Amino acid sequence: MIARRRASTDVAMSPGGRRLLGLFFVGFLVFLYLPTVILGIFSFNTSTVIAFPLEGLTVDWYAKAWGNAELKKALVASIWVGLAVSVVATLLGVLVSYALARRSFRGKSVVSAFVLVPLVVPTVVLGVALLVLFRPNDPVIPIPLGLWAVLIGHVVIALPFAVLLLLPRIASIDRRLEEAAQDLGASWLQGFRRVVLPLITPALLSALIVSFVISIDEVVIASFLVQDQVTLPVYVYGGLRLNVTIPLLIPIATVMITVSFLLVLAAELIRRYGERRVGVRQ
Amino acid sequence: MGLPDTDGHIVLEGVTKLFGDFRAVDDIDLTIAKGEFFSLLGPSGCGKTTTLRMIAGFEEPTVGRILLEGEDVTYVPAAKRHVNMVFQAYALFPHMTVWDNIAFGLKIKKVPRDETEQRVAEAMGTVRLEGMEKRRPGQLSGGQQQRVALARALVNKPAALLLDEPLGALDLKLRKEMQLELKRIQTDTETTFVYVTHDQEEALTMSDRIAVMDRGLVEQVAAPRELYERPATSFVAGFIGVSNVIRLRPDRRQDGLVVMDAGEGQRIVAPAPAGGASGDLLVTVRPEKIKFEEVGEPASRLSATVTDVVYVGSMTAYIVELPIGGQLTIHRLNDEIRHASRPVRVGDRVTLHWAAEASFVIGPADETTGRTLGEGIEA
Amino acid sequence: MATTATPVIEAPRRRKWGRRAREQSSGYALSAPAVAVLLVFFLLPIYFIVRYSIGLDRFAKTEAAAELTGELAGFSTELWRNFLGEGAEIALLGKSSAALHLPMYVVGIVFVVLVLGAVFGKRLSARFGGWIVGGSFFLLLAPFMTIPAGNNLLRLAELESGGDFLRLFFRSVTMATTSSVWAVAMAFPIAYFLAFGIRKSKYTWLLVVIAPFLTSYLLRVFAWKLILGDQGLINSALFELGLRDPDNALSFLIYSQFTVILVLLYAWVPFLILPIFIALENMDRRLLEAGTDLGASRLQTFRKVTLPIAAPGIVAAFLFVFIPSMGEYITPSLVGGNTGYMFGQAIWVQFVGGTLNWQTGSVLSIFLLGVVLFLTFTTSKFLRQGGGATA
Repeated sequence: MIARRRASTDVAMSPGGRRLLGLFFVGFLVFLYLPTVILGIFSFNTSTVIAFPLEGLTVDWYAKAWGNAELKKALVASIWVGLAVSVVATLLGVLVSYALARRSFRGKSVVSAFVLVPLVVPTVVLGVALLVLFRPNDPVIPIPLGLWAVLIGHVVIALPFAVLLLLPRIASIDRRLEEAAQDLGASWLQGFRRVVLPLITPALLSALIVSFVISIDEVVIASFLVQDQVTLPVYVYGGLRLNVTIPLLIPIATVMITVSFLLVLAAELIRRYGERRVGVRQ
Repeated sequence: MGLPDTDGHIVLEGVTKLFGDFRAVDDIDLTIAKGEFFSLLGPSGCGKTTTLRMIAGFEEPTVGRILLEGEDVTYVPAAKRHVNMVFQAYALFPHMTVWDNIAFGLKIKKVPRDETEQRVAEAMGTVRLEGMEKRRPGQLSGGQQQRVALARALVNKPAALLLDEPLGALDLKLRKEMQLELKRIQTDTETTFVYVTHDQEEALTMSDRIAVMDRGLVEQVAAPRELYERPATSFVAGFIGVSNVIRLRPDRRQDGLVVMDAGEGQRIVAPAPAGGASGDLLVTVRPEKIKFEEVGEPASRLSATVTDVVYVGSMTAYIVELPIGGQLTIHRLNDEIRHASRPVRVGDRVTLHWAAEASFVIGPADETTGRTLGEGIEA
Repeated sequence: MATTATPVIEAPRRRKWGRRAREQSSGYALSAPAVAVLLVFFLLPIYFIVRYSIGLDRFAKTEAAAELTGELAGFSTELWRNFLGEGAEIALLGKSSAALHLPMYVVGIVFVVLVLGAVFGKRLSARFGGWIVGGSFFLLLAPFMTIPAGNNLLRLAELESGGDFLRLFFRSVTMATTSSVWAVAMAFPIAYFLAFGIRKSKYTWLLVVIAPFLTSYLLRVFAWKLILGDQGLINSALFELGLRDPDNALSFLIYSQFTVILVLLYAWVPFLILPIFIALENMDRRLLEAGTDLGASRLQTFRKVTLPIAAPGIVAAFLFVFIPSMGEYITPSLVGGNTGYMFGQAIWVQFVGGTLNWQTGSVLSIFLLGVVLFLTFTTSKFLRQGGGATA
């Protein structure tokens, strides 16, 4: 195995070429991470202007951001919306993924394409479309603009991701496991709860986390649909456009990016753990 | 198949299963007795697994009905049938321990905790898995997984245990061990076993009766010995063991024998069939019954040329070609050969002898047209 | 015993609700919630913007208000004609070159026929799928190439005629293409290095490379704003080092097309690495060795073996980035300024940003949606035939 891999490395690139690519790779990582790191560094800078040289070390901006009531309300709103989106999108995703993986029915290919289409629809278009649906004067659907509307919009864009995470996992479970459960007297629901659900738990957690991250990062649809109470990204976006509260936004950005990283890491670790526990079946 | 419905523990009546236009199972009738070790044997795609899945309740017959303990269960779902299945590749729940796997059925049926513990322990004892309770299926060997699958089914005390190629994933040595083990378990628990396999040797070793299937049809249902010695069709003759099938054109009948003269003192002799039908007959003779030495009369005698000699452990197989057309296979134990004056080699001209009673008449040749020798032989 | 004649199957004693029917209905039941949500909150709203775009609905509730917004009062294709018809002529050909109109129409009609044939006819699509995908891009790009370089657009809020919007669309396509091409050019060597150059824990490195994509898009754009601004890190560093005068900052760094393209590239490049990596990783490595065994040089092996195998992955990667970039709204609104704005913003302006003409905004939205769906549909068809290698 090792010998073969080494051989293909040699075939794929000369030692010099490998060194050059390695250098490019390092440069790329710097390019990728430097902006985020700079954000982190400047969140501790004393000056109100984001410019070199750095002046002094402070956690004032963190304290100020934390003390900002409007910001806190936006954060709370975002978290609630995010949690609701992650639960609803994952629930819908599990059901439709199970149907797509395990049932044969007429129009199945249409359904599977339909649940994935929101992936490619520009969020601007989806945002205005929902704005039209919930328009304040004479709405088509009597749901007022606001966080409920944002929640709905985010469910639509999170659903395809939930399906993409769950469908392959469900499809990879040996059908005979469910048959075995039924053979032993379990109803479909019992079989699902005791056999399928435990086996897709890692994918389920990933779907929950990813849906949550999608919602809490999303700004375009939210900015079309919010009313008085904004979500955190909408608040940040407003601040960035107006160029007023930028020093205050940097610590928020730093915290949000760090949290996202941790969530992604958690999702990945959960996935790996799950595969190890069950023994990957490829 | 003679037996009236009421005698059967499991009865299939005129069962046909269509998948689209494909006839997976074609109008079969089977009656399986209580406590019997019954095998469904045939090449892949013959409909044996579909038949088993219909008994288990995973498929519904297109036509016909299925009775279990005298009750029509044709449309009863798998969960409500009092049969349990041992799946191909076992289908153990990978996230549960051995104990939880085995206790699954009892937990679903809400059997009290004490009884569950006791029955699981008993089942684990039956399959000799003591001490493995806390392991997960991924930590077990193939043979152990097999035992867990058995215990998981047996613990429910099913009316019948359905086994779908359960030994397919094991290596040869383990397979032999498990064959004996399965037979022991079946005898000990007095459970009806319905066993699906494509391995004729496996079926012959364990079964009380075997149904040989091909292309959705049941070719013959009989005890192993009868299948071997009195195959009903050339397919069965070919599928059970290695068999030589010869087309015989009777020249004369004498003393309850049919004789075909092949010139130069050559002839084939077989017991005359009961009906006294005229026309060509299909005759089979087992490879180990053909000798290179003279045997007592009346006997068949043919000259032949050896085209291949294959050493297979305890015995040697000779492939010979007949001047009158066709090939025969001959088995000789290597012990016997050592005493022979001169070993037989490729290219040798030999004279073959076998006793008249070693030939078995399958039936008139025209009734089995379309099934030529060798077709469907995989094992 | 052996049944030789196939018996005629009698009238089947089947139940009214066979197992198949039950399976069907449970499939529908399980899909129903998701499908219902998408029907009501995805398809229905799109149906409504279609209605707006042809004048069947309008934002204004009273005649007086309609007067003010200039919205149409009933069914009319005027907005579409304005956008695609007269507008297209100006955008595509400029006002003077009327002589080119006929050939362009002919080319357009032939192309449409080919596309329809490719999408709906199996044999045609198998043979010409690649050409048609390529052709679609060319058709999208060609008009822009005919527009003289350096043309100045109006300010975003001043865009009015259909031609203005269509020109803006083509400019957005060009910006999206530029950034996507650069992103692929950057991602390929990285994916190649990950697949062939790293010997230990390559999947961990892959995660390291992709992880930034999963953090907030908005905040990553924000970081660049800090770096590139007139008072930003690069400029302030230059001032500090005395390389540039504080009154004369490097102004192209922010609020320009360049910035938008750079930030789009930055935002999407991690995501691009994945499909290319998968294509390379799934490739049978013995092919490489076979290549060198047959005496091919590394470059030849790369060109004749690696590249063709990775091609579907590269095409998929390009589209993954190109499609969302075309409708981009956040990046240009934060770092694009007066010259780097894009089509997505024009939609925003029509709906909430000031002009408030929902009908025009709907025309733009439907057009964008149509282009995106068309590209997705044709290329996914092409990818399915051309290379099953992509996940």
